[in-house]
Amino acid sequence: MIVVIDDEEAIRASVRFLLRSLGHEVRSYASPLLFLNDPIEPTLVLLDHLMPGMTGLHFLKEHPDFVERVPVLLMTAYATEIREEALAAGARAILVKPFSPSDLVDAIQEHVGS
Amino acid sequence: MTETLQQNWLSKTLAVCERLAMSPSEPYDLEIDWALRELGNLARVDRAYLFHADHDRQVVSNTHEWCAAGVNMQLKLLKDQPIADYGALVDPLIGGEMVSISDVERMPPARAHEQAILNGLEIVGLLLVPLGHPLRWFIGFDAVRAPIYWEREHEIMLQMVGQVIAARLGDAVLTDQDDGEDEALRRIMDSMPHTIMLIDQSPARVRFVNANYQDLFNRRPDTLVEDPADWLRAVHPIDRPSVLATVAKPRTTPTELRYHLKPPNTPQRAVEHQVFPVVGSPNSAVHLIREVRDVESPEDLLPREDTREALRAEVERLLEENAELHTMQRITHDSASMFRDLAERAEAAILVVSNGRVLYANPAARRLTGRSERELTRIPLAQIFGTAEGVRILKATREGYHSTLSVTRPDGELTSWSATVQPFQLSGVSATLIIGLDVSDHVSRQARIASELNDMTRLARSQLFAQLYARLAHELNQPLTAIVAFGFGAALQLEKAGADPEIIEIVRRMSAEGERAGQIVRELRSLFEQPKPELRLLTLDELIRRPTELMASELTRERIELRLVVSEGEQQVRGQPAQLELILLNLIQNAIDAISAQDTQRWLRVSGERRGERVIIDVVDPGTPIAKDIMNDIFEASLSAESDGHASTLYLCRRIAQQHGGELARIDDPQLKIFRLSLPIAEEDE
Repeated sequence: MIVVIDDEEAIRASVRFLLRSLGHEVRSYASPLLFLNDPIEPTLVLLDHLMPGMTGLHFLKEHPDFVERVPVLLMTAYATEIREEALAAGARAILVKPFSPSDLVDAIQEHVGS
Repeated sequence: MTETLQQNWLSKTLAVCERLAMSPSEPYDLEIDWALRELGNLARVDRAYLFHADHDRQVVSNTHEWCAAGVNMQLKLLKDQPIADYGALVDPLIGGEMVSISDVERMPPARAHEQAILNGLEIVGLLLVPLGHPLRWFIGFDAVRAPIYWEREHEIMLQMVGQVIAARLGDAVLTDQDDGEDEALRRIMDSMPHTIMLIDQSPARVRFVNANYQDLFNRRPDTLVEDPADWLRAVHPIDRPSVLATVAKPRTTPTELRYHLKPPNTPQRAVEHQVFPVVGSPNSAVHLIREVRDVESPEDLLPREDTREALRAEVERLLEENAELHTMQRITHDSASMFRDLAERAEAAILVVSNGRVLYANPAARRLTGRSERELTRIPLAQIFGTAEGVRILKATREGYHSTLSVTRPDGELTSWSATVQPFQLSGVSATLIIGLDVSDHVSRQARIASELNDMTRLARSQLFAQLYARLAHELNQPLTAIVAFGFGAALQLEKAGADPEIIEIVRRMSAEGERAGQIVRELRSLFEQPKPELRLLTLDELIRRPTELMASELTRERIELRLVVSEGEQQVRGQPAQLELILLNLIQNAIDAISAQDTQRWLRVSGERRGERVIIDVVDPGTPIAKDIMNDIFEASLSAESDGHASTLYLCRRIAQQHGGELARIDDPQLKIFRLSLPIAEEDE
């Protein structure tokens, strides 16, 4: 199961629609806190960076065990500012918005298999 | 005899006449002795005397005598002298004529006998005037120590006093004037500067009038005989009543008045009129009228009291004006030398220009212009200060002006003067004073500050713009990402459903176009990317010190007192030094502009202190507080853009403060204008 965490409803809905079209089971959350309150173990997390309450980078730093166990792909429009820091905190890849569907598919296949 | 002495003589002789006329009748000898002494002193002679002739005119006696100190008296020697002993010397007296010998030594040989007589009497000159015809008395002056050249005034003097004496002694000399036969007296009277009239008042009768009457009244004397009061018609109408009341009244004492005549076809003139009653005949009076030519005061020439006042005021004004002129000339002279003395030692350039040319240049002016005084006086102002400023100097109004002048030296170097241009008038010459201080260093420093401020502002603006664009890019990327993902998913779904391949292709193209739009946004953003700004710790003192130092010369030039109040301690903030300085520089510059533009107190306070977890910096000036209703708008770019210079960056300054976790706000105060910058305290190990 792939989890999508983004405060933008349009992103959540479009990525969820895309991945389901590819045959994935998908759940989406408007914030990291909502995800943390849901006791599920995803196979991969697509995590937005700039969100109110807790940023994606903050989530990575706060939950190193989870990051080590579950691959997290960070989605952001500010790749240059946080790339190094995010990778150091455990992010497996950085997807720069707007990313192409093929890049997304390639990244998912790389980390969880088709 | 000088003019002054003559006048003195006249008034004093009249006084002698008055006293003689008014004194008690008997004994009279002392009065005559006094009169002779007065006359002798007035005439500066050695001897004055009176002789009496008997009825037959065979014997003469010296009755009264006055001698100057050191001169022998002859009174007792000359009693009952046979007139024949004097031969031709006294013949003229019997005929009613004067005897006048100024210098006995120079008498012609034909008069050797007379000369011998006078030598025997130790007389070097004499003047004898007969009183009455036939001769009864004669009065005379002797010169003993040195010759005296007798003047007409001496004769008149003797004649006037002699008449009064003779009248008092009962032998009035004028009694025989009715038939006008006394030609000697007439000649004397005609020679006097006065118009002389002898008038009986009741019945009205003119007994005598001299020739001067015609000159003064512009009519023949014989016409007066027919109408004795007719002379009054020449008296100015304004003065006539008082003149008539004075002169027409029978009196026993002399009187004097001044009034104005306006005879037909003659200019108006002021006259002095003396009336001497004839002793023993109160109905008769001798009138002496004289035009006042040698006026002692301008008032004498004035016909009317109000005009007198006007003239008096005019005289006072002229005196005052002359005094001022004199003072001005003295001050001008003193000032000129003082000016030159000061100017030669002044550090400031001092130029005096007139008609577009330099009249004077002090050493500093020569040094700062790089030209000699000779050269400065030969070139037009435009060559020194430029055409526009040269014209402005020439057209400067009386108020003058202050300006920064650009001066081009012959070597091409441009210097700047902070100058006062002040036109002035000196001795009727229009000139302009230029006093200039070399502020070239100040101007270049100001230019550096302005350039630095400009660079900092531009940098801050670009940083801000990059941040704004990043935010915009983020906002665009979100929907673009959704478009791309939805499109890609939709194409997959359509494929599974076996949809028309053309429709599937269209959906994929929509997704691809979204992706391309995202790429454009990313590329655009990279154009505005800035190097990551340096953040460092700044103490409160560092934060305030540099901007105030940068603006110090500007504050000095505008004569604004800087009140710097920074609390002690090591309070620090973290931020970009250039950006934070920019905020304070702008606030200080805005305050200077406000103070300079208003007639207000000239001080500026910059204070810094810690309050809780924040550093508070206030920039306070006494300028007009901003109205409450626009307080919230002053940071809006649209409003600020209406102001020039640094004021337009208030919006930017607030954004910078906010990016540093702080705030820039305008504090509401009814009296003062306060801008407050607050920034969070930063610790060393953050």
